Amino acid sequence: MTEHIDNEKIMAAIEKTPLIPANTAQLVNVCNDPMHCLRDIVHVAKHDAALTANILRVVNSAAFSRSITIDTIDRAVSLLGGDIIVGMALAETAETFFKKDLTGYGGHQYDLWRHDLRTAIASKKIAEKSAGKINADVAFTAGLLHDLGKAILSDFLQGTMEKILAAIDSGQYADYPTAEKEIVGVDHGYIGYLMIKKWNLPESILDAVRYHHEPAAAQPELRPLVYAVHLGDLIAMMSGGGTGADSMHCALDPEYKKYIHLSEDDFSIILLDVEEEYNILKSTLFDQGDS
Amino acid sequence: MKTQNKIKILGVGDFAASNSSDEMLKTFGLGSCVAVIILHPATKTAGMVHVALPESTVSPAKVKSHPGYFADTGIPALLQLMATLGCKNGEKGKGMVVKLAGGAKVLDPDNIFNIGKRNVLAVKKVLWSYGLGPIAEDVGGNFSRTVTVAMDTGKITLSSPGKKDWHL
Repeated sequence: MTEHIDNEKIMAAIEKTPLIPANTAQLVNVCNDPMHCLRDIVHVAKHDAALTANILRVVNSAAFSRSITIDTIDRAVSLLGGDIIVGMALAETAETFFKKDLTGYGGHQYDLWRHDLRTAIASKKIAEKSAGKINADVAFTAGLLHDLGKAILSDFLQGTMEKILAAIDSGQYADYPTAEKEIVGVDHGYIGYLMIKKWNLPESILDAVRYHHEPAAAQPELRPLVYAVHLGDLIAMMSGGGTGADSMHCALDPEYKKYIHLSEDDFSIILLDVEEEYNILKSTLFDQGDS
Repeated sequence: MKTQNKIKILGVGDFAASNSSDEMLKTFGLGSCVAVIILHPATKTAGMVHVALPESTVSPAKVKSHPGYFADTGIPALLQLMATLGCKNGEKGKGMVVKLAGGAKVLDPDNIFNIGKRNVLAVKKVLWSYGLGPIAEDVGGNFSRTVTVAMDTGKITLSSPGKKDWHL
């Protein structure tokens, strides 16, 4: 498949995606290394004064209800964990996308951030139950970035919602991402992949973003992670954190069972755990001014 | 739960009731969760609980902080709250009007993700134990629902992106 979209306007929008700071990419890559330790994260964070200040602000925020003030970066990183540090760095870097008003999907400002954060947490929870097969920090990061393509695609889907919903109901399209492909030529996963391709992130994250609605198309060795994000996305929708008209209009690939073993009770518990962690993180990672 | 311009906004597992005629109860984007709305016309009171799961046995530790998460603890908690506002559940549920919304599903051939359907069944089972049953419901399907209850009229409005608002 050529890595090009036959739509100059979309390509132009993708090409305008800013690069991320080298420190942020380095943080993601450190967490991708299964042998990494918190000291490696501290090492990167220490060289970024703004991030260090932000980490100390977050670790001492009211949401965590700590009885003592944490004043060292080492302690803050060990309390927050790699996933949240990466999440903070990416939230700042990609803020303009996360807060985009998704009118093409009937969504609102910050819906993308809320949904991506819920998906990040759900993907991480699924990874934590994979007995080490899936790196939980990477699952969190991939979940956070999985729908970034909607920030661009939304502009090209204006006025299509009612038509897409009717076409799905009549069986013309299997689900919303299929409709995106039919109407625009690509789905939001592929656009998101092209947006972050230049960010020097691990291949696993690129595949998870690209294939989160068709996980079987990912490279075989990366499929456990991609299926975790696939499921995490659906769990986020089920718990009420969608991005608009496409919410719940996505198909579950039952092949996930080859890679991830979860009982009905496991799903139920993950659903609640996601909600609780989301409520702690939503206002701490960045101020979105609302629920 | 938080209150914004006289609108009580219920998150997952929240429950609330009110008899202030200028207030509204609202819950955003129900996916597989179910909103149980209980109206008590005699006292012009309305209550709502945003249920996420059928049974509390899956995570008993969470019942204390969030009884509203589960059908089997959320509905009793809401009825108890409404009782403090003078809403008596008469014999065979007389005097209470119950409506349901939510319980949607993703497109899932195996139905393992159909927590929505299990939520609706569990909610009805618990309601029956109080002699209550929904007189109206808008459940299932593959779309999310936002529910608003206006206290002065008891009117329930549903909305979903890409659809015109409708009433329950």
